[in-house]
Amino acid sequence: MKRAILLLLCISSMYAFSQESQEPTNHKIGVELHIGKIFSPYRFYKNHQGYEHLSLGLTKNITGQFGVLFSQSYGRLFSERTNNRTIVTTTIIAPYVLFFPEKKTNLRISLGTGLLHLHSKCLYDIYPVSEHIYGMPIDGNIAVFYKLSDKLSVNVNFDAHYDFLFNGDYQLLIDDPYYYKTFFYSTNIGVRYTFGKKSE
Amino acid sequence: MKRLIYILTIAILSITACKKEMPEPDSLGLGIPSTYTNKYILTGIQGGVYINDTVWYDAHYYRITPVKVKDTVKYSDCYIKLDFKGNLVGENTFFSGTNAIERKYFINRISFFYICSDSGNFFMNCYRYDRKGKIIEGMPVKGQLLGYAPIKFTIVSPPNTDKWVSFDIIIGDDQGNVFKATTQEVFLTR
Repeated sequence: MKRAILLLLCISSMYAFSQESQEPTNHKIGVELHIGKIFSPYRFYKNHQGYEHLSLGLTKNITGQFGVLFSQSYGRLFSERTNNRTIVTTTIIAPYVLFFPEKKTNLRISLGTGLLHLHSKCLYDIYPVSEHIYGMPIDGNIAVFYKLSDKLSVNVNFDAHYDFLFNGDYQLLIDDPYYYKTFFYSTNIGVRYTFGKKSE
Repeated sequence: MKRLIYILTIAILSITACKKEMPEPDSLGLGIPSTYTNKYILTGIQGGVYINDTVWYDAHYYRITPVKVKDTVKYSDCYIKLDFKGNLVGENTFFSGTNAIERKYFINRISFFYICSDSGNFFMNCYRYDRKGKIIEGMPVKGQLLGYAPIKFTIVSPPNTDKWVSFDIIIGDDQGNVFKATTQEVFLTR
């Protein structure tokens, strides 16, 4: 008899917890960390090899389905032909839309802009050259989330930005307006932690 | 009217989007320009005295004949040609692997640039970029980038007397690198 009551309690508690995760929540702020690889297939940087890509994001839900993503990212490229290392950093603010906010698996699409910074450095000792290039990115991000718990979720995401570089007197970049447009993309995996409490 | 404006807008956008962008002007309209620029840093220089018998055989290139060692040549019939060797640092990726001919542009910033002669009286030991009397034309200026290779220097003043002469070319850049080249010895006449 005792065993049956214990089993019943276990089942009811499991049921209770599962019910809890299905309830609508009122989480406002989320923090995300993504790790992946950057690719540079376009124009001046097309002969550069992409390496690691990291991004840190802060999200704020405005309604259940819409919100804003603020992200800071870092990527590294290297060209064996020119011995140039380029660090790609972006600061992006992007409104997003969530497609299945109440489900365990969720899709999020964001589109935004911000600031791009490229730091290119020629690694030859004989004549070190480095330069800072700034531009404006148009950034798109598609992420698929899977909820592990009420607050924690994992995701895979695809991030791409088409960039318009500001005019400048560049030494390592070919000084032609053709090269003032560039494009990078990255594939990442990440985690997301959401702050806040459940709605009543 | 509205429909016409709509169609015109779409047409202009389509034409603009389909217009092929290229990083260098296609002066001949053949789809690919005959030359393109890559950026280099200097690792070595090479100099020589050449006869001024320029013959055009292509849109951009011409035949040049080096003066033979110990040969006699009139000062106005020859020039000093300086060629650069270097490492690629900025690649014009659009033309990689095409038939277009690469032009090397050197980005080293000049700190000093001398052309000296071993024949004391003729060039008074050394010709500097800041000297007033012009003996050689085409000298780069301090603070400039080296630019395209090769560089051609014309001798515009005659020697005092006919001389055996060879030239030392010494370039220093803003990173403290010094490069030196010596031309072959020639007999230079007035």
